[in-house]
Amino acid sequence: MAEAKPASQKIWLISNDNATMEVDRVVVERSMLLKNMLEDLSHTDITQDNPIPIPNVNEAVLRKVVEWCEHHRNDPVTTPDDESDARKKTTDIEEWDQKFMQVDQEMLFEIILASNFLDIKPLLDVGCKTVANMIKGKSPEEIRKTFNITNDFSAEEEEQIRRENEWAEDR
Amino acid sequence: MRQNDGHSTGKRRSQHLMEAKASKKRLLCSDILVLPTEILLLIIDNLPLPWRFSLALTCKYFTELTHRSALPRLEGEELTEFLFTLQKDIPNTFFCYCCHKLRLLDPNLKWESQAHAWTLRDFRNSYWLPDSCNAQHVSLPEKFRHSLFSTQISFMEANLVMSRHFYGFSHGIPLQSLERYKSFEHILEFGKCVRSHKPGCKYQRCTCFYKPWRRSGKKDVIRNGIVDPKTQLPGESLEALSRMKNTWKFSLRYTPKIIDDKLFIARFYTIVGPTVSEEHIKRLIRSMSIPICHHLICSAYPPCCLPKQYSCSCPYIRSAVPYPQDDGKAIEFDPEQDSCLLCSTDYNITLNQGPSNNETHLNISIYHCLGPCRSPSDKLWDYSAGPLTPFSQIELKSRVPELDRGSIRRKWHEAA
Repeated sequence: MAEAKPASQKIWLISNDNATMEVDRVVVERSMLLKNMLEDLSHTDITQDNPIPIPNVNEAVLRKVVEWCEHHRNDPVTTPDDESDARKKTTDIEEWDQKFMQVDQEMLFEIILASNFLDIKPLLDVGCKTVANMIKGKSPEEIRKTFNITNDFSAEEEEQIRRENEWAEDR
Repeated sequence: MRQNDGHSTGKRRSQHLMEAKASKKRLLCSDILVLPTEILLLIIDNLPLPWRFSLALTCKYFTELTHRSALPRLEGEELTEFLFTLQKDIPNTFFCYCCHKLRLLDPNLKWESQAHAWTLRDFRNSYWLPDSCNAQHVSLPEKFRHSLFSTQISFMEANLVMSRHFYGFSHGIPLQSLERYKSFEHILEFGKCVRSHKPGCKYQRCTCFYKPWRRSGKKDVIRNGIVDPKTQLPGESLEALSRMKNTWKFSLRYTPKIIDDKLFIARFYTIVGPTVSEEHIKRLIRSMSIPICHHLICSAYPPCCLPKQYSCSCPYIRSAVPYPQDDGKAIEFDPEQDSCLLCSTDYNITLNQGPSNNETHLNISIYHCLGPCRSPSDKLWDYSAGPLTPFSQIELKSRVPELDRGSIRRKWHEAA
């Protein structure tokens, strides 16, 4: 039988650069990975001296992820079906999340990777939508510039694609 | 057989993915490619079709990842959105809103000489043409109407000017393409009847569209469409009129400017002639019916063949369309300086004797803001050029907040 979980129970996390942070259990449980882990552990197993290691995630990124989880601590937990429906519907992002994602590209990709690793689906979804919104409305060259992508098509190949799709008129 | 097909498809697919992975390795300097394939696929899932195409065309890796060859064909608005952005990547190419294709633009030719330009003459043009049913009161030369028609601005022309502004010299056409200047001289004969009338008839035929007007207790001034010249032109005889053959100079000039990423156009009409009676000026202005915008016309009131009992108003700003009215009150426009409430067009009109006091000077200055001209359905272009439907009237009432009365004129004059 699972032990009772006091709402104020604290959990300690340690980033891959050895920064320890104290977080409410309910906040930590936004991560399905940590939630499942905590369910298998006694609440006395995790202490300040014995924090949960979060490999691949540095302090700056972990703080951002915890900040997001804090803000969304009371959000209802979504089922996989809800998630796929929400993803299909729109690339709209709520205002707080938009501001939260106003970070440089490196941090944005790190947040996406961390949310993927920690299994925080709503955060992963917000991250992916943010990147999608950065692509929307841009031409291929603008996307290349935005994400530093090298064009490996030859001019002939590009012309061929336009011809195949009948996008251009000769005159 | 089916198994073999599945096997070969799977084999082909895995070969493609291997190629994609190899190309990813070559391109790994890109930041986005640090993301694992499953996350990139989630991002692609969030992309509408036009932008999947855009991403697919960035490099071979994304071509594979988006399954570009299997993507459905782009059509309608999606095709428009995609090709509109794709034009930015191909120098001297433009997306034609009329045929929904990318077209070549010869940088050495003016817009009117471009291969495709002539087919776009009727496509969503600026609607600044005179009301032809009024062009009867004074015989204006064909040049007048021709010059107004030739100074129309097609949407694609405005669009291409703004493309150069947004995308640089390898795109679009120069701002000067929208400059227009026409001028000509003509002898106006105010006493002559425009419509043919019976030989020997010494009276003018009423040339306006109004039916013969009668009023009890008053002397009839119009009988069966014939105007009594003594009543119509007090103090002037027909003989005197026939001698008044003086030259009038007409000129019109369009001066475009780009201000805050929006296209502004000022139209200046200057008409200079001898001093004539107010009645004649009224008839001339009414004949020209110079459009202020899609909704207002510079005219004169009352029509020349209505009697003097009506208070004379010249110039008079006439609404060309049923104008939305607040509280049921008719909207009156200041004939000297005002603004269209529907499209924010500003205007100034001056009518004076000129510096030497023996000339008539009519100056009409009109200031339009046509917006960024990215799409023919852009609000500001649509307000200026689009057909006025009951729906758009409601829409038009919510004016663009930054374009308050007089702001277009002010911005145009303040800009370099």
